[in-house]
Amino acid sequence: MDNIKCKDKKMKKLLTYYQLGVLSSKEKDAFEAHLIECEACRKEFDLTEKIFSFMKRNKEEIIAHLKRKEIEFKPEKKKTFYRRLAFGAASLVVIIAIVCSYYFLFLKEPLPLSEKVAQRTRGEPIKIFGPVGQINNLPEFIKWKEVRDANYYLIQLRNSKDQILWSALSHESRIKIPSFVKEMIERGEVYNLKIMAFSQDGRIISESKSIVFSFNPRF
Amino acid sequence: MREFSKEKNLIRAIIKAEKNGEEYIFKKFKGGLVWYLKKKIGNNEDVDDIIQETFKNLFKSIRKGIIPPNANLRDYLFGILKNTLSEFMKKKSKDEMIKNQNDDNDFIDRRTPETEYLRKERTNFIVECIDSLPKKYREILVLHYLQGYSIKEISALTNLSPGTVCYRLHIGRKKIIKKANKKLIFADIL
Repeated sequence: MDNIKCKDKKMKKLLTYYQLGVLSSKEKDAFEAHLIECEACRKEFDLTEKIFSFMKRNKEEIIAHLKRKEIEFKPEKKKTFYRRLAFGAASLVVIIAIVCSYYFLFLKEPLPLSEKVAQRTRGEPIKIFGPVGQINNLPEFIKWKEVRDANYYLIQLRNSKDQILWSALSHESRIKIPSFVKEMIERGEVYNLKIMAFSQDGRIISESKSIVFSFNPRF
Repeated sequence: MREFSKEKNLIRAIIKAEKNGEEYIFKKFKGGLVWYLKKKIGNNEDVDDIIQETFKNLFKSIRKGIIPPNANLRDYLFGILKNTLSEFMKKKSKDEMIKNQNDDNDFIDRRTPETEYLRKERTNFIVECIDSLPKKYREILVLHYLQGYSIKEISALTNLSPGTVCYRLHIGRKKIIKKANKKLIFADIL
């Protein structure tokens, strides 16, 4: 009879947890149902209950014995405060390092064009009136807003591959589009237009943003 | 007697009104039921009554077809047992209240030289067991069973999760039980 062994390993493990009172009600019921069926588990249950209730009843005597034998049983409280402090400091250092690296990377990066222009000119960008966006008819003139103190303007026309098609100078705030340029402009292609204003010393006073237009005539 | 290796055969046997089936079930589960009921209510007379009623209800519900033939018999039996027990407790509770008032001071101190000797041996055995345990299991076992801390308190003291505390208790207990099984010190009833 002593050699009976429980085959249900899952239930066998639950014994401790049942006696500690940690199981949910479902698990508890399942374990109790198993106890009714399984004799080996019942025997182990009785034995464990006997041992540990005995331990609880005679705890003072056992503790006295343990102390006499100088057996250590007090848990060392781990130094959590210092651990947490160290962990916090380490994480702070990492965060600072990441932020600094980002900052330096950002500084090393080339500035975007608009900011460069702002640094050079300090003025507002030139506003182009036309041609802008999708246009049906090519206008005769390229027009833009006049800039104060500007001696002359540089006009650049680029295609989508960033090749300069045409560049010209003008003293007025407009320029006539020559006929050979009109012939070069193809239907459906995208073109960039850029205008810079120069002072009498030859410095750039202000610059337009690169304006995009495409020529889509309706027939 | 016909062998019932599977529970399906058992339930079918009862449906066909074979007496062997009922006997088999009764013999198989009676020990467990007695053990369970003695844990819940120590009274011997009531235990027999409850067991009889549970088996009656079980066979009834099998014949009526409430329990399907491929069901787990154990779970159904346990459910019926719980129900009958709770009904029984409702009836009894009033009578017990009156009884408990009468026998309040009924602690008997049974200390003889024999029991004293046994107790000393057992304490020595347990001290040895605790000594032989690894430190991490020993700490928690002592904290729970000797110093009376709950699992939550231990987990706060040692910075372990409640799950690991339970697991370490489980391992420590296992080792002690293994030794107790070999020495047979706890075999008798004190």
